[in-house]
Amino acid sequence: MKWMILPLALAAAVLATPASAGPREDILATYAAAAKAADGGFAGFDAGRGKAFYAQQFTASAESPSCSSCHTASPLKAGKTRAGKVIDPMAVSVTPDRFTDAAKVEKWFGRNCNTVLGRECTAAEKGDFITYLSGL
Amino acid sequence: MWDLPVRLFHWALVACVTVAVATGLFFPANWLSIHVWAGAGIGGLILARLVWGLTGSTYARFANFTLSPSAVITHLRDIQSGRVHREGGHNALGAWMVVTLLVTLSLILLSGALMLGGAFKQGPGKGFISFATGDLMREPHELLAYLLLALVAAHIAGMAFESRRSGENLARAMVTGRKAAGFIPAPRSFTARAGLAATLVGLVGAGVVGAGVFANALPPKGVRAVALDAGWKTDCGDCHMAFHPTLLPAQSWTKLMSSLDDHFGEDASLPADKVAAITAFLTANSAESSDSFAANRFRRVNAERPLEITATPFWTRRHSELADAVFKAPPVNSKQNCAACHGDTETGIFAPQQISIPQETKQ
Repeated sequence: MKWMILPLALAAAVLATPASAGPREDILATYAAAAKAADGGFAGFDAGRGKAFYAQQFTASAESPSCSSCHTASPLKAGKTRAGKVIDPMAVSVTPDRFTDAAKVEKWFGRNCNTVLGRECTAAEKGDFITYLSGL
Repeated sequence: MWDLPVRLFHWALVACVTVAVATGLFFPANWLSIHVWAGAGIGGLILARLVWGLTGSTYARFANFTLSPSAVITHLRDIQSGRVHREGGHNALGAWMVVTLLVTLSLILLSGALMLGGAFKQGPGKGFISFATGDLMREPHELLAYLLLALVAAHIAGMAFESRRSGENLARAMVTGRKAAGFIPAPRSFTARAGLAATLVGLVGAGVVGAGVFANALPPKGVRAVALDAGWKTDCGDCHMAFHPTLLPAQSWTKLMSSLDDHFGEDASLPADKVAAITAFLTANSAESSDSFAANRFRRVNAERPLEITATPFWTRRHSELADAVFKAPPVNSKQNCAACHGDTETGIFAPQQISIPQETKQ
């Protein structure tokens, strides 16, 4: 079993390295900084809050009361715009390039929060949302 | 005593007219090509019959058609008095029926070709006929088709009536070419000149087909291919099919692009530079800029909902026969998904032949 030591050690080293600074991590870091600035008590993003946010029913729009209205109840499944166009699943495990383009992420939070919530989303909400969808 | 070419002409014409009437009146619009080819076949048959009327055997010749008013009056009097005059070819009413059918069919072909070229920008007329002219032919084409059906009914009724009256089965005579002995021979006897007929049909036919092929290769009048804008395709296409700019008038596009923050109930805002670029693309290529069928139809918007293609009078009328379920069920999903059924949305042409309603949703 000695031959396994080196590979195991390498694997352990890789796993132990803090999440490397990929584009998604950069986006999350930006939102974390903004969340911290807005609320001094901010203690990190939470997938559970993100999950609740994803399913929450808002009142700003009759046609699109929730994220799940278009993205469907399961983020693992493809969604559908009101005009019938298929939306790739939101979960990073199914659609790996989700939340890797900061401009695109901001474009859609900008549009969709305004439509569904009737306001901008907070940095904390955005971070929770991404955290939830990255961990599915 | 109808010769073989006359009989072949007759039954081939029956076949072509049947196909043309069926595809024109009863079949879905995507049968247009078959309809057009049936019309082309009728055109070829008429040409051949006209030539044969000048070169064929005795009873094929127009010279022996008894079209004079006196002949018609004599025939009507015979019917009234019960006197039977069995002709070797057509009697006076029959001859008039042939002429009327040929003229009616020719007018149907003419109106159809103008419609095809002008309204649909297809076929030999597409290079020089405007939509307005083509569209003007729509009702005459249809009315003449109904007149044709009435004439066919009268033709069959007259044939049946005269067959019964004269004791000669005229339908069978049109198959076998033989009539019972004792008929009145035509005043003038002719020998068929098949070689001359074939040469004439060949020459005229080649000329017509050649001109048709040449004209068919011309660019469609008033319809240019729009170079699609990349920004329009991505940014509009994110949520719905990117609608071709010729599908709404410039005024609607301008209004729509200036209200993206409330785009049918959704925030679809874009940065100002993108809005400007897409607006410029849409208005430069709007419905007013094209003479295509769709552009002409969608120039008229619903006054109360001027931003909605699916609220235009034409769209509503043309899709009224489709059940709501067709639009709601996958793979169509919504009325905004033109491309689910129309195969040529990127060109903005929306040719009838390109329509195919997905099987899953067909009612």
